Amino acid sequence: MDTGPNQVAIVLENISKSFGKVRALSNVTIKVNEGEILALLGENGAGKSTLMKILSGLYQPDSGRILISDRWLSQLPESQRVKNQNGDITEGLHEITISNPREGMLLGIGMVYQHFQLVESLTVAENITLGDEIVKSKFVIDDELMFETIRTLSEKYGLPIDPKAKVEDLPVGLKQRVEILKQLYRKANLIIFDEPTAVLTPLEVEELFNTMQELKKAGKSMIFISHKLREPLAIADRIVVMRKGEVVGETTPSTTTMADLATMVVGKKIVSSAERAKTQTHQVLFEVRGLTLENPSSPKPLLNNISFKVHTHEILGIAGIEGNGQTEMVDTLVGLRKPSSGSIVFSPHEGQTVDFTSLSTQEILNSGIAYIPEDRGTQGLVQDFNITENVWLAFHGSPETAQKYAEGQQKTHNIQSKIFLPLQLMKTTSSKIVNTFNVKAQSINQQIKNLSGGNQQKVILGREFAKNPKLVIASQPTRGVDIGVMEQVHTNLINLRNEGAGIVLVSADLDEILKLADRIVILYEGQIVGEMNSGELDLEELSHLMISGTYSEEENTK
Amino acid sequence: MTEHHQHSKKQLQSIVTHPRTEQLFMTLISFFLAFLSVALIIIVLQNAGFDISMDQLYRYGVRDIIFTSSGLANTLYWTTPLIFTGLSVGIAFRAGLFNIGSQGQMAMGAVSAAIWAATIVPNTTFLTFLAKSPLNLVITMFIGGIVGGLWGYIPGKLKANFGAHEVITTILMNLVATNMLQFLVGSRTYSPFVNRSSVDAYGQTEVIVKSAKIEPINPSVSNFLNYSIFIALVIAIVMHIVLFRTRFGYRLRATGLNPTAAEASGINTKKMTIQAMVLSGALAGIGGALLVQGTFPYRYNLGMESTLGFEGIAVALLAQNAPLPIIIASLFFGYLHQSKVNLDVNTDIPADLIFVFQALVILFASSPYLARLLYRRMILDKTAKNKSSMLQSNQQEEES
Ligand SMILES: Nc1ncnc2c1ncn2[C@@H]1O[C@H](COP(=O)(O)OP(=O)(O)OP(=O)(O)O)[C@@H](O)[C@H]1O
Ligand SMILES: [Mg+2]
Repeated sequence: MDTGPNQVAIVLENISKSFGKVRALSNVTIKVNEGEILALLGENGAGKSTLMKILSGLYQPDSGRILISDRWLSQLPESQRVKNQNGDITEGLHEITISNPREGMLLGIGMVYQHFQLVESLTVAENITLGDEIVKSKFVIDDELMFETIRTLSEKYGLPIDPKAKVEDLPVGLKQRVEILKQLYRKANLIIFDEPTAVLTPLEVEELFNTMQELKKAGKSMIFISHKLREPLAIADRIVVMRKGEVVGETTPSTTTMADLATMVVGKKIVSSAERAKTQTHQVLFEVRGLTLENPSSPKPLLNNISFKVHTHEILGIAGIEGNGQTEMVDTLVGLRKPSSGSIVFSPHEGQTVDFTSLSTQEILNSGIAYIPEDRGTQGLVQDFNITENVWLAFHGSPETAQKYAEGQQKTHNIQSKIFLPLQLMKTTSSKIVNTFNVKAQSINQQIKNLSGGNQQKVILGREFAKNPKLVIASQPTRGVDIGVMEQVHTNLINLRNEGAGIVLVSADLDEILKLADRIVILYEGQIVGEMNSGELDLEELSHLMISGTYSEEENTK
Repeated sequence: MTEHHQHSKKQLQSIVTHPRTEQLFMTLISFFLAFLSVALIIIVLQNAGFDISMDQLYRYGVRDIIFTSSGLANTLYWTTPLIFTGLSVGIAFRAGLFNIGSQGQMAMGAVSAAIWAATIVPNTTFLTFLAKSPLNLVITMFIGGIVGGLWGYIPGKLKANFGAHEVITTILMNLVATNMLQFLVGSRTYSPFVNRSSVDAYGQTEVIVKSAKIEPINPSVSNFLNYSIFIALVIAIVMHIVLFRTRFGYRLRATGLNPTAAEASGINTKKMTIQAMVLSGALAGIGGALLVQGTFPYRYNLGMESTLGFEGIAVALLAQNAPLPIIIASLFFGYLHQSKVNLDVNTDIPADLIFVFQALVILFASSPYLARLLYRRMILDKTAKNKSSMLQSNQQEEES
């Protein structure tokens, strides 16, 4: 293709957008060239997603213009072209309006959402063609042609996938690929990825990057949002940094470093302060023995005879590729699933033990543990609740904990009532959490669904740390938060550990585990296949275990 | 532009774009659309040769109700049970449950209250004192609540333990209720609680004892409107408090909005399901009891619950399951119910026309696409223009 790399494809010019009193974007201007990968970085709440929603037609800007190039316009279907030709023309650019996502799609702007918009029970090809079906006659889908078309499409862009596979059977990475193919099928010219890597394993990230390179070769433009700084450095042509609704800087991977980028994003130097201190007394705090969870639809158990210990002053990292039983294990630990056999014993104080397997989730949570669920959208938050009500999810079973946190020794609120909500205490607690974690919101009464993704996560983190827990069960705690917040969360976890808490850390981010964990166990197909101390780490061995479930020596000796 | 002027404009802007305002406007637009549709239907019917007198329609459907004190009083009379069934459906909705069983729950509450106050109290020696005690008024109400609650408990339990869908089970419970009523009061031969005192009277209980009766507020205006409307208003307020101020209400709403997150936070969602269904059934049951206690001749009559239970679904939908708006929605549906009665009694106009209107309001209100489109076009566009001109003038001021 003859796409010059510096041909402007689309320009967002002086875009502003407010929600009520909050100015989410003020006079933002960015441009994307043909065949370019533009990375968009910035703190939580900087306005990245809002800008992308404007570009895809989900939101309308309060002011500002969107312009596309001559060449782009000429490639559009007739109807769209006519509709949009009336706007101003400046230097080969045409002003366009995008009133809704459908129009955005017709204009060739596609978005790959973090939460996939797929029908699980349909095949890959059906999902891709949904809404624009390939038909024989008016009501009959031409299966053969559909599968063939999708096969050709996937080959054309080098994105291998089985068009006949059911989406529900696909791993996350492939589901994302279906989303991408969906956009390509609709002839997207510009594909927006809003935090696509947050849910991917390192291997899948690599695959995605290969895909993006392929798309680039085919002349597609892309916008890529991520909080992991190494990713834009690896894949982007240009990096734009936003802060507080404004563009604050632009750079390229070749002229910047991780450290510089971090400073640009956060606006100041990031210092990792907390260190895992050497500590003496180690008692067993939490012990899981022989935990087995049967799979009702298969003879192979979901969790197979899992045993591990967590001591005081210890962070236990659970490494493993996602989908190897992490979700089920955490669910079982907090009582959301009942194990077929095994025990889960928590010893908060010397001589005192509780067996979680005989307790309800409420009782488990009340025993002094913090629980950070993997998926904030479905498990962690009630989207239609406001911030305060969401904070209260962590305390409604034991308001005393909130009281201790919000007021220290000086107890001013009556929480005795078995009937009424302690509204005042709820507000105090919520305000304190919002301030401590610097949650960006209009007020504590704002609905959680109107917060940016990272700020939602901060609400969960804030409320769980507020419990001052003896034991933390954390699953993907830093998913979606910016590097500043990630540092804060790491500091919090390490401080808790130094003070004597035990932490079970499940993370798909190997860097995070390597940085924080005292000890690592590796989960593979519902089994623990290995254990390592942070002192004696062998990275190659670790990845081998994660991928295959076996030590590499074993293979050598075969 | 004066500062004051600007300020008020900003205020207007924030009011207009507020979600509640939008909701209100969309409801009004739904009414308007339903009204238009019914007008269209009438025109079609007239052209098809049906004789629908507009004069009569106006006289009995509107004037006699809105512009006469007895019409207004009768509207309020229907409002009372509608508040209860509206709350019943609304509370269940808040817990994520679609309770279609308010109809049966209400009927069972009504008949049980009547049986209690008409047969059990006077004929049980150790209870006869209640026939004179004002306490009986409340007890009778509670009996209705308990039996209605039981009618809710069964679907709730089936849902919690076996995952049986409440829409199916509550519909079935309605059928059980219908047959139960037939058994209890429907026949002169086998019904245990039927009124045998007069020859042609079947399908009704005896008259309840005086202590259980609720008097009309002003018999010279209306024999129907009675003091139970105040009980309804109090309970609506109480339900508002229960939903938004109590720990129970908090857990109930969490369960309804996101059961997965509720469970992960330790809420026993199965228990919540059962409790919500019991409360929902109890509200309908109390509504039924009050219907018996406040309606001359103070007995349960087969079919006296009319379709008030089903109308409760409409009330709850229109009020978005919020207890205080349910009062307003009940008022509106109370009016429609009265106009239906009026048209039935006084004219040949099919009262079903009112049913159609009710259904259309719900249809437009619950599929807000059209209404939202109109709202955006008519109202938001205007204010958006105001806003951008305001912004410009702001900028100019800043520049100068
Ligand atoms: N629908 C909405 N209503 C009210 N405020 C909103 C809405 N959507 C976004 N905001 C606000 O706009 C600001 C920008 O949010 P946005 O989601 O664009 O941030 P982001 O850069 O994507 O952050 P993150 O990295 O956390 O995803 C935030 O302060 C957010 O609270
Ligand atoms: Mg975002």
